[in-house]
Amino acid sequence: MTAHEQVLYRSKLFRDAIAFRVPDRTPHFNCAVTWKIIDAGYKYSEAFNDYAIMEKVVRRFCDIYKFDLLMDNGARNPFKVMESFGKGYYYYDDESCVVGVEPYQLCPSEDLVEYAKDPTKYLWEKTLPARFPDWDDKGLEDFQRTMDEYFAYNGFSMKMMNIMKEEYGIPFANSPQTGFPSFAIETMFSGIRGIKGLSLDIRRHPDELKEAVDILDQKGIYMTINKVAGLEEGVDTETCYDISSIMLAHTILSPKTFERYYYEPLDKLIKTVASKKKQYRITVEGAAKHLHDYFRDYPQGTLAMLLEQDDIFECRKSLPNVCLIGGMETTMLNDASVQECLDWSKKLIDELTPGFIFAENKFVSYKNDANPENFKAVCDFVASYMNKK
Amino acid sequence: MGKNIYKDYPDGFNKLAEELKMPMEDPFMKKFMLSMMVNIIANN
Repeated sequence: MTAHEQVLYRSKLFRDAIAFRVPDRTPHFNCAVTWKIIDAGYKYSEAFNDYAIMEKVVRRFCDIYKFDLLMDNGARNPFKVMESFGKGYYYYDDESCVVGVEPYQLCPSEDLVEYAKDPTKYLWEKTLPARFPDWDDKGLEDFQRTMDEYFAYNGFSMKMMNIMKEEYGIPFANSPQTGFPSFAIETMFSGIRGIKGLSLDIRRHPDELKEAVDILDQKGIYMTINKVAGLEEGVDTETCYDISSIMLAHTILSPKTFERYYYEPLDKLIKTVASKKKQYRITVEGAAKHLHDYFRDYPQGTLAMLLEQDDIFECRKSLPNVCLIGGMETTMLNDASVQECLDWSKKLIDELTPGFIFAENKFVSYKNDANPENFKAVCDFVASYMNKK
Repeated sequence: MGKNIYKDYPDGFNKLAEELKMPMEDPFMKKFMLSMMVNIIANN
């Protein structure tokens, strides 16, 4: 097959799986992230600061490990952009092989609505001056240096996407028409207020939070919903999903607060995607069992969920309408024998197909997230195991 | 007074977008790219 034919073939594997048709073979959504760097024998500092090294890392991974879609093409962490301007919240350590982020928030609770009305104005006038002690001394050359790094980062990201597609026959994850939108409550959780701030706001400032979330969702997710509504029916046959989003904020939400801050736009988006016969992937970090009731009534063939902590076999019973992604636990990938990993992979495919996409259950980030021998054996197995149903 | 003559919004911000060298010339796109860069700096 040519690279383009591989793109079409792999995309169809995903599309069939989400539609609960039995694909030729089960697609593998490979969740290797920074683990690739360690496996290639480089330090984080080397790969994060040199795009040529990161390209080598990703190419080596593609040459050794078989898969149909890769979570990270090497452009996940814009360290160089941040470091060209000042100290960032994200950090890495070569000795302990850790990548992490310090807790942060972009605004205090009393400014939530002000922030939501004009985020760029708020960041420019309040967040950045408060964060960078040398803000008053930043000159054109400082901003130009960072802008140059930003374009270099974007260029690297595009280059890697094209290498994956044109050289390795790996499709883009999402349709460029719709992409990877974010819900306001997620951006509240991940940065505007942070985990602690959002948890407190839900209890102490629920009305201000609701007002800010609604303002941001009108500018964000509802624009995406309108865009999807205006598209032609049917899936993008060159991508694995039409649209994707990440759910993480739900880990601090009860069903009641999920309904208040999340459910309405999420429900509208899923229903709009379904009405257009498109397919939507949600990466569900943490556990979401307490919210399964909200996802049970959507038509089969619309939703796929990448699961981190929820038991995938229980989810199959609980959500028979949702294509499940995941199942390969990184603890097993690291600690078990090759045969145990292969037996588990076979069980996943045999028992969960149709409606299943093979994936690691979390971002494979650290050295102990996978034993290379196990990982390669699993990748080889999934790529060659043909469905017989 | 420091070197940062771009601190006001939107005037300073727009002036900076205009003065920054980018691969595109369209003023709207230049402001958009500066907003994106600001978002990256704020969230990383």
